[in-house]
Amino acid sequence: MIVLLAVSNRDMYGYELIEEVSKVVDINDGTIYPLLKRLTNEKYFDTYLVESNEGPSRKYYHITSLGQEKLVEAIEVWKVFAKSVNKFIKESEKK
Amino acid sequence: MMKDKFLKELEKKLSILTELEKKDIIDEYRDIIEEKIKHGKTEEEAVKEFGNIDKLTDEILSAYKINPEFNKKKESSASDFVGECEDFIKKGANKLAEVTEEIVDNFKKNGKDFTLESVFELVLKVIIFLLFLAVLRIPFAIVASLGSSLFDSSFIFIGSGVGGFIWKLLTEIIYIVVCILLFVVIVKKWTDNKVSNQSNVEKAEPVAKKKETKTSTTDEIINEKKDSKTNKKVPTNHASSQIITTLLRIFIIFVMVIPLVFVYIAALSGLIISIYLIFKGVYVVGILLLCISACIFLGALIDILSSKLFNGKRIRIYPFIISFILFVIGSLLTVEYFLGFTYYNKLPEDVLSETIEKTIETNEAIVIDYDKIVIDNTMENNKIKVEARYYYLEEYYYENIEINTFEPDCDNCYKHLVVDYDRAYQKFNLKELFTDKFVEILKEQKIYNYEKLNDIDITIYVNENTKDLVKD
Repeated sequence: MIVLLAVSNRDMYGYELIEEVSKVVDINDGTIYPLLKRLTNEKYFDTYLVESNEGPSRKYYHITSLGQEKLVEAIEVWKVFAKSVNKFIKESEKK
Repeated sequence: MMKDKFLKELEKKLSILTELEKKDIIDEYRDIIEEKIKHGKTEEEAVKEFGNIDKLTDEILSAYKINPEFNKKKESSASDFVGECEDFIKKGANKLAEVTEEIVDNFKKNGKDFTLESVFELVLKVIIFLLFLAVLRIPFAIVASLGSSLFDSSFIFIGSGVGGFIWKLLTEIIYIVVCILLFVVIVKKWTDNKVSNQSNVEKAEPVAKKKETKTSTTDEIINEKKDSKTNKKVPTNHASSQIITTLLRIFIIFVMVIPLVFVYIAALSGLIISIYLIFKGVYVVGILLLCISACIFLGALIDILSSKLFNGKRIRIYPFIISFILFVIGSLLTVEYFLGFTYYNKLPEDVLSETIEKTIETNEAIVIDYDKIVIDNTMENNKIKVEARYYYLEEYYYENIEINTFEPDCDNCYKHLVVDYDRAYQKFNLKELFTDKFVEILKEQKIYNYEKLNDIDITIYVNENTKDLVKD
């Protein structure tokens, strides 16, 4: 979900994405790319190459409309989950 | 790990993907590593952050819904082999349970399908299967008895029966397991067949094929059973057929490869001995070529068998052709060499000889087994000079040789003269075999009649008068 969210804000390339996501959660670099691959194969992302003058061309990830839908869903699920967890914590603290 | 090495390994592990996709992924990872380096990390660190490369590959491939176990199956090393065997045994046990249930279900379902034809089909198949098992028994029996006698002779200190007994037990167990698994596989295929309603034509085919190929290897029979089934694809029984192939490998190794290796060693020793003899001047080129051809032939055979067992390689024909040519030339030369031997019905010139002599006096007739008689009138009457010449070798000689006379032992018999002797041999030792003398014999290609060593030449000298006393 976090990956989808990050890319929905702006298009990013691999390394950028790792940076952004690491700000939120501590994640193994190795799992980012396979995850991107999976999401791309399932048509949540589009990719395009951008020529760079400092090195080889970079692959940028762009979220699709399908991806956007999925993102909205995922955020809903997360919100519901967070609400239940918070409720549970509050109840436990009361006792 | 350095960047290039990492990327190369990654590419190898992703070989199942298309070139384009692979390039895509490798480029992306290269970019990510470059970026990290730009931001101050070393190559090592950048690569390490990706974690375990195998896990990484599994994750990437899972995006394509590929079974990550797929590629790995091909590489099985010796240590994996044991693990595989254990798995097979477990799977085998499971399969057995499953199959029994399936059979029962199938029978219930197809109860009405039991026509006379299918019954005959079943009976025939069972008979053929039993015959096949009996034939399979033979190599196992050979292996069992060979192994047990080998163990019996070498385990004398532990207890002569133990080694052989254990070996026999092992071979029996393997045999039984093989039979059961074959039975399982065949029954499973058969029941699958019943489900797919096969036609009668199939009945004739397996029977005919089985009768012809009963003596062929187990591999082919199982394959033919597969082939002779219908258009419906029989669900490949992965686990049990794997068990079968593993056991077949063990079987073929024991029964075929190991004896071949021993014969190969024998051919090699023949080669060495013939080179030694040639070096010493004995013209045994023919035998040398024979041994070379044997080595090449066996080497190629062992190579084919081992490559068939572990992975299918192309079969090379040329070693067989070469070895055949060498064999023909070699055998011709060998025959020529052996024809070069001449036989002499006498002893060689350089054999040693000695003579003993004795003069005896006699008034009566005496029997002497002489070879030559010389009338020497300088001899006195009733006196006979006996000369005995005998031949001997260094290793094979006479001892206690004497000329004796014996009184007659019956009423109408004569006195007789006999040369008594003892035979002595020098102890034979292996070094003798390779002394120059033996090599000389091979070189000269002359064979003498050494039986003549047992002959003693007796010459007697008598005068005119006494001559008549000597009887033959």
